[in-house]
Amino acid sequence: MSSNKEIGFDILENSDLDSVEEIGTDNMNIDKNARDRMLKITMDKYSAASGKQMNSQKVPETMEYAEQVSGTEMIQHRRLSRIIGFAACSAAAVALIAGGMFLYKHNASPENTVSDPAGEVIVTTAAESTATEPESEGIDVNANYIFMNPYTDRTDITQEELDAACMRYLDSLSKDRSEIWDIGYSFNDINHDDIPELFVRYSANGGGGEKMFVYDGKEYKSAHFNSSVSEHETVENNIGGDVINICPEKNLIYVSTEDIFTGHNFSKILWLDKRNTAATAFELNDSGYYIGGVRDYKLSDPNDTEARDKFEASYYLYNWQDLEYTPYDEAGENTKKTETTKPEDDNKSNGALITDSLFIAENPDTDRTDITQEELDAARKRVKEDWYNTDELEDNDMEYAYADVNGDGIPELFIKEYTLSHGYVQSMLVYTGEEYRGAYYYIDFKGSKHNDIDGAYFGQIGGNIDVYGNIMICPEKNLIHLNEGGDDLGTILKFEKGNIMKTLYKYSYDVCYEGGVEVSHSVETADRFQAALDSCNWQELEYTPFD
Amino acid sequence: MTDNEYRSMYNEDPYAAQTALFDEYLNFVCAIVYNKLRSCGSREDMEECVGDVFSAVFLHFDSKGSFSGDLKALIGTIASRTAVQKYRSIIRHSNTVYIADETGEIADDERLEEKTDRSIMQGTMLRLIKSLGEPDSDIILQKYYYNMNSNEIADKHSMSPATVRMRCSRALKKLKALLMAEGYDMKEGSI
Repeated sequence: MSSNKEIGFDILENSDLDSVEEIGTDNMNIDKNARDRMLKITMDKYSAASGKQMNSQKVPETMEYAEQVSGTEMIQHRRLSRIIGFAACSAAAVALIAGGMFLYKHNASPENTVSDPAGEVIVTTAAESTATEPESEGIDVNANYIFMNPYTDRTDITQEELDAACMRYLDSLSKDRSEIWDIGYSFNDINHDDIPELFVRYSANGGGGEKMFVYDGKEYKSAHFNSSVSEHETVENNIGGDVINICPEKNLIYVSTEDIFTGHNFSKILWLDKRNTAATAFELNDSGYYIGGVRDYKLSDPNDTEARDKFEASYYLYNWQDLEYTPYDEAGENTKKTETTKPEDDNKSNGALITDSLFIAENPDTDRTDITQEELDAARKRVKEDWYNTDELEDNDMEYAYADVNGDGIPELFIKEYTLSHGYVQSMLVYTGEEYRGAYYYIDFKGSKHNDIDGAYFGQIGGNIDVYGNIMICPEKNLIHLNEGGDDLGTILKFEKGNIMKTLYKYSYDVCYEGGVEVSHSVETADRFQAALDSCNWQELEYTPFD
Repeated sequence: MTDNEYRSMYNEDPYAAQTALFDEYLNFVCAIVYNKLRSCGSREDMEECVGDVFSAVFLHFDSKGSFSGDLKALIGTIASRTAVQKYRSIIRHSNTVYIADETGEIADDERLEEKTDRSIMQGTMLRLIKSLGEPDSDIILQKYYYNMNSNEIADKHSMSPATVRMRCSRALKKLKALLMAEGYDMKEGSI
């Protein structure tokens, strides 16, 4: 057992005022209902104590506690007032967006969905809302679910200009994001404005996806839309996901992402007007199924398929196409990453490999010699039970592998889990004699900044860092190859008996170490690192699903 | 809002002045109350306590005709004391024994040592959380200290809930590593 003191977030309780402010007084979630309730309580107490009768009419009536506590949402389909006057001009959206709404015409058949293939947006304002009813099956897209992307009025744009803009973006993507490869691009004019939208496909560590960009007259910019968090709450998101389909005849884009932990499908059908304005026509997420921003079906049970069925019914109304991508620089730099992690042949020289380091982390160890596989299996099962994120989503897709990297007869445990942002990520754990604990290695970044797999800052302090990322092993040399993504180009660790972890190489864009000594980031050091990699026979771990 | 601003507004419309002051300091007062009652109070307890605080602040002004000194410090002090009273009231009516007892008194050397340890641990925890950088530090606090769900946090940061969950998991792992480097293990129940 660890001799460390235990600490939890409850240590932050009973703080002094300075600490309370440091924790962040704006971090609390106080919604309008809670605010109104507390104001009413305040005024009631003040009136009772002072004898002064405050005007209670000014204090809004509040929701009942029971509704809040149970988490039951008030189901008030505040359908916005019916659309009356039409202005068949999407440019008007700019002026009308605040008080107005889009009408996305939709009937039950594809033929009736959008009468004009060019897809005019039909707009009105609240002030105009006094006349006749629109077509009965029209969909009102709430103004909150409209996102105005950058666009251009230029009419002199050539395909060469767009090709150049596309390449500029892809070059920067390839250069700045070492964890992305297998990039492809596709031009498609979804909104019929004669300026094709750009779609980019990419692979990332264990994942990948597709993403859409719009041209602003100079560059291709990431396209966005407004997505439902819950009814009446939106959040701005990129138009990107696991899969994008298009329906140019109706100006539609379908984007879908599957959360494999929960099985929730996050899908949307977006309509794009000539000014690159995206309207969220249909959306499926973990809170339900939405039409034009209004929840049509609330999802309360994860096993309920009704919302998905409804969304799929909308999806199948249209004639969808897969995107056809042109590979970007097939033989070039962007494939370098995959090559570096390929197992190399055994005959290569190992003369370049450093075998010692100033950076040493002593992981927990045991002297016991009576450890059985049954004991380790039991400990492994406890790892799953205690996994740090089991209260969230990610415990449904965990796999494990044993491998005795340091040759001490006690196999290390490796866990592979799925993360939404980065696909599969692996962790290494060592056996303490009682339990498996996360393994770590030491690094001292001194004053250098380093971005980890999430782009989070990880600098100025040295310390022990989890062995967490893409892991390959070379048991014959007691080595681990770790790639954390982000700015990290790779780490080679030596794991010796006694669970001693030595950081032999650390290569990132910002800082490089060999044997715990900082070295410059140069062609020579890169060659040495590559030679070190090539000198080992790296093995992928073979993972088994948990019981 | 200054004392003068409140007073002139109060002379025009007392209710408007009180509401303005309430809105300006609501987050501050809620944070103090939450900090004291987090482990023992229900949401209703906390909201009632916030009502007690602002009511006391308004009564203080009525009795003095002004807020002498730093208005924020005055409200902070009233909030802190009111929350401690509420805390005591709750534990008196509870069968649960709460280890942390906010008496504000130092009974002996042992208690002094305990408070010092706690203060050091508080400082360490806050420092390490802050070292995660924005927005991870805020997300961690919102998730594990303020017990907000991913959707609520996502809303505050204009992120998707999935991104929040991911950042949270990664930040927590990083925090655990940082704590371990400082000689602490994260309490299992706190995760």
